[in-house]
Amino acid sequence: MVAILRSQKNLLIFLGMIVILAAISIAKISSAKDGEEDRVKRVTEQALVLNQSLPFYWEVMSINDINALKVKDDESFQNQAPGKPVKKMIVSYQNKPNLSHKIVFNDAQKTAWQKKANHLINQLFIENTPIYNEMLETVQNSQALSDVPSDSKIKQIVGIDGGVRDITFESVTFNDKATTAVVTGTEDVWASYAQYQDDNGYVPASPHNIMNFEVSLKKVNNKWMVDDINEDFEPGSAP
Amino acid sequence: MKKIYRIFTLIFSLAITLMLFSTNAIAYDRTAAKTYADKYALSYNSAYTKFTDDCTNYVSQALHAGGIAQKVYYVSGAPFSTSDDHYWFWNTSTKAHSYSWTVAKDLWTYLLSYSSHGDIAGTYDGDIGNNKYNPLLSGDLVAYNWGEHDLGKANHWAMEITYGTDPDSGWTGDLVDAHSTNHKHAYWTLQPYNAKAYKTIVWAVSIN
Repeated sequence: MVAILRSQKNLLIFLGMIVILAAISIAKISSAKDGEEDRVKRVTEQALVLNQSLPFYWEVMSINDINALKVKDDESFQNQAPGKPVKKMIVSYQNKPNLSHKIVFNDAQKTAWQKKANHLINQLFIENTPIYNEMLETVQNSQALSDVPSDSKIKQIVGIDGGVRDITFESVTFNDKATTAVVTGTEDVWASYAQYQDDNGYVPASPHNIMNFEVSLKKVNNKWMVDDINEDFEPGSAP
Repeated sequence: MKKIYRIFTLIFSLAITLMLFSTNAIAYDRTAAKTYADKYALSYNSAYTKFTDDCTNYVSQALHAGGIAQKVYYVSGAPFSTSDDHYWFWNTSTKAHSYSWTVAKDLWTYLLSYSSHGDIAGTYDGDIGNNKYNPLLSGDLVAYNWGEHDLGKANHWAMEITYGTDPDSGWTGDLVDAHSTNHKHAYWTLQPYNAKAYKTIVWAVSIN
């Protein structure tokens, strides 16, 4: 009888240990998954912010590394409906550009802008994917836009700054081996532009729009990199 | 003499028939289109359904107000084939309509592929036209793709109205009216309203 009780006691201890080990394993897996999810969300935030910052020379030049790519809000947007411009220049970096004279980006500035952009893009985006190429083109488009037209009837437009005010994550899904991930959510993006008018100088307009996003990521050399970004204006928030 | 009279009558009847049924014979009335667009820029005409994404429905109404004739395929008196972009119509009694009347990419196909009413007068990709002329006249259209889907086609439309200063942004240039987010005399590329302007493709579409 004592032997049976002893063996039952041992069995209970054994089962208890199994339960504890299982709980520890689940907790570890869960914690690892949470860590992975946090990493994926952080890369997504950096990619969305970079995507919205690239067209703006002074913003790009103020970013020293990808850790600086964070959501930043400005109180000027708080009571402004999406798709309606705030009629003022909004700047998130330290020194406001001097808009008292016509801005012309020289070749050295353009080269520095593209070089810095390439450096940041290469850290977050998988090379030669359509989104990677699109990111490189964004800088070229922005430079073309700010080039001073030879005809005075055409008015120069300069991009001052841009970023992401807010991100709400809706879902993060991994494949079985956790080598790919898809992140969905909404973001509130903003930009500040100025049109040069002969009589009035630069006239600023700063819109913000809410967008739905889906970001696809892949693990490359054990690091999460962006494979694709899809963005759609939230209904009622389009220009 | 009777023979000459008959030939004359025949030619006259043919000419009248052609004038009545040829949609392109009547010149597009740009002033009427522009007046309609301005009248309903910030409101809705109750003769038509109001859609959440109303931009295409709105420019279709303005084009029609300018004299662009509907193209309806009837079977036993009922409008037929709403999804066929060869046709463009709105029935104010039944509200039956073609996709091309209300859906941006379908109007694009109708105007530029299946009718002789539209021509692309300029494409502005990414730099959205800052350094190029907008060659449009009042009553012409501006098409936009926000850089999201179907990149070769419009997913938004506006109507060219005049040149001046946009009251909401203070920017000077060609001005448009549009629905969805309603605008009256907005800067033509809509850049002051678009934080994603560098991803946007804009087309100037002339109407005839």
